Amino acid sequence: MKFRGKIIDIACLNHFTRVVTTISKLTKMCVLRLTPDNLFFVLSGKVANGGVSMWCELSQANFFDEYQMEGVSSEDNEICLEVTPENLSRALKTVQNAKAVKVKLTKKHCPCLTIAAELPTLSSVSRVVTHDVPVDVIPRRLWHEFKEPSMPDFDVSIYLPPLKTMKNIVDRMKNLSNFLSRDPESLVEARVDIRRLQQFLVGQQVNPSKAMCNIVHQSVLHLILLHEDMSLQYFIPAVA
Amino acid sequence: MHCIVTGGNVKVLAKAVHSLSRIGDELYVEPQEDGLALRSVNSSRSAYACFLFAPLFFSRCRLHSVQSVFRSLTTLEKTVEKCHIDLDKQKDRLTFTLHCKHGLLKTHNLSFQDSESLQAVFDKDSYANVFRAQPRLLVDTVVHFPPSLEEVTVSVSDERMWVRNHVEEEAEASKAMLTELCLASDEFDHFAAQAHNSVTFCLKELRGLLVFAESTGLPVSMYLDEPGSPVVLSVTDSVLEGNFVLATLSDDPSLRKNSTHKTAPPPPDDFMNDDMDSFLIAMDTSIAPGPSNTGPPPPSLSDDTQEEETDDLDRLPNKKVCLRFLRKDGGVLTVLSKNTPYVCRVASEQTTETSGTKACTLKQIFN
Repeated sequence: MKFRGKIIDIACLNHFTRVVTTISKLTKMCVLRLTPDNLFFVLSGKVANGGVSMWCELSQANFFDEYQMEGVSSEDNEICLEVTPENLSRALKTVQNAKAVKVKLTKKHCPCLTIAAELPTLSSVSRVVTHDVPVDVIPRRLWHEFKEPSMPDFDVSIYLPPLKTMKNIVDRMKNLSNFLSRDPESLVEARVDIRRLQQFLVGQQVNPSKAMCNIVHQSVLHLILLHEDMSLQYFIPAVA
Repeated sequence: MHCIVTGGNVKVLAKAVHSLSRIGDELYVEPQEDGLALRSVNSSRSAYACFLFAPLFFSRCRLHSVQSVFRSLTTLEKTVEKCHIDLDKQKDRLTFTLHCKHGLLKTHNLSFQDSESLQAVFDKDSYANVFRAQPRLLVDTVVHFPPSLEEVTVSVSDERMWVRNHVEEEAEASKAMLTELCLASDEFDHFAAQAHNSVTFCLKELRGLLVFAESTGLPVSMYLDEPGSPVVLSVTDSVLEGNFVLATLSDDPSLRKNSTHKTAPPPPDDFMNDDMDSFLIAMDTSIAPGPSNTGPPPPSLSDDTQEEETDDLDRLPNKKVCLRFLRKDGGVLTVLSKNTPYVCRVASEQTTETSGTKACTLKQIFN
């Protein structure tokens, strides 16, 4: 298994950092799937995280200037890692002014994602900073848990207003009740834990070009954010 | 004692006090012949800082040989034009009068208590490794580490300095994020590494100095020696000298195994209470206290010396080696740091004074 990516463009680095930071605000741990064309940050719905699940897809070509990977095998040309996105976010945030940032899969005291950056200096020699973020390799037999979720059979699909507006409203509604019903006027509703929705809204660092919300009556709230080079789907299960 | 500080120097004084407050809760004020010394030390006695203000710093200065200690929590004051510092021995009062803009006068009266002088013993000029850099370099280095990070390890070679976070072996080392930064020698104003050492010390306490240095623009000098010797960071200009002394981990592998220590009596509550009869732990008594000897013996690379030190330090329950403090009677008071603040005393012939025990009130000076 090998992975090596390099980011040179400052805007790409900045964008990538913001995506990772958004993910870090949504969950403590998640799975990073690496394929030749994409990166996926996946959270599978489990009781432990309140049934919430997440799927974030990035096209690697939009961020990395160089990207090489070799998966577990030629048939399964993929790498699956369990990672703490906050560590990645912290490491990336400190190197925003770097000349180049390399992300590599390494084996130090344990498997790590190493973020190595070359920082500009006044001297002839560049300053190099490395952050080793420990990761857990996910064995192939568990990969089925982290597949792309299918679009649910939604009853209603809504284009959301600007997220900032929503966030303000949700913040205030939080004081009123623990649960939020979407679209109360029609017959379709899904009561969700307001904190989950708030967490989702608070974490947003990337302004989406499109934001949609699908509701499956009394079942699940499906939020979709679309950006030019990234998509983020977030599922919040309804409570009884 | 009566001093007046004017103009921009008030801010410098405030910043110095601010940076000292990040080390410890108490401020030691000591008028000396060569100026006014402000010192602070943390509760585990593993970090010490001292700012010495030359008489030139003050517009007017009359000093008595009085020592005092008081508590102060400080924040920067931006509207102060002048600051008068008055010490009234009879009423046991230290008064800070701040003359502010628009004719506003703020007077802070603080009670103080006599204490013995606090002066760490170190001899940075004997250290093997000396560096000097603009504060920006150190600030840019420290930013890569999380604010909560306890300890960093600094390693040097002829041309490079590495700074990385230190992770306790016993803790979940496998899950901790490791960060390492490499600095080249030509990023420093001065880089002299005679001994390729690695020392580990607390990063948090360093930040106080960096804030001060960055705001005053003074270059920071760093003195590194072998593990166990404190690392010293200084800022100097014509009217002040600030020294931050931080204890370092002694990475002698045999020390790590000695985690149980049952023979020593419990540590005293009051560090300043000099009426300690019990002789607690025998420290490295080969260093005779004296007026001219102000520091640990120069590092020796021979194996024999290291083994001797191991014997003496064998009974240390903790691997962090102490800072040495000079008592006013000339005896050396040595304190162990970090988790077990044992206090130890090298035998001194002279009798000691009991410390005064006046009430001490908390006042906010620069707010």
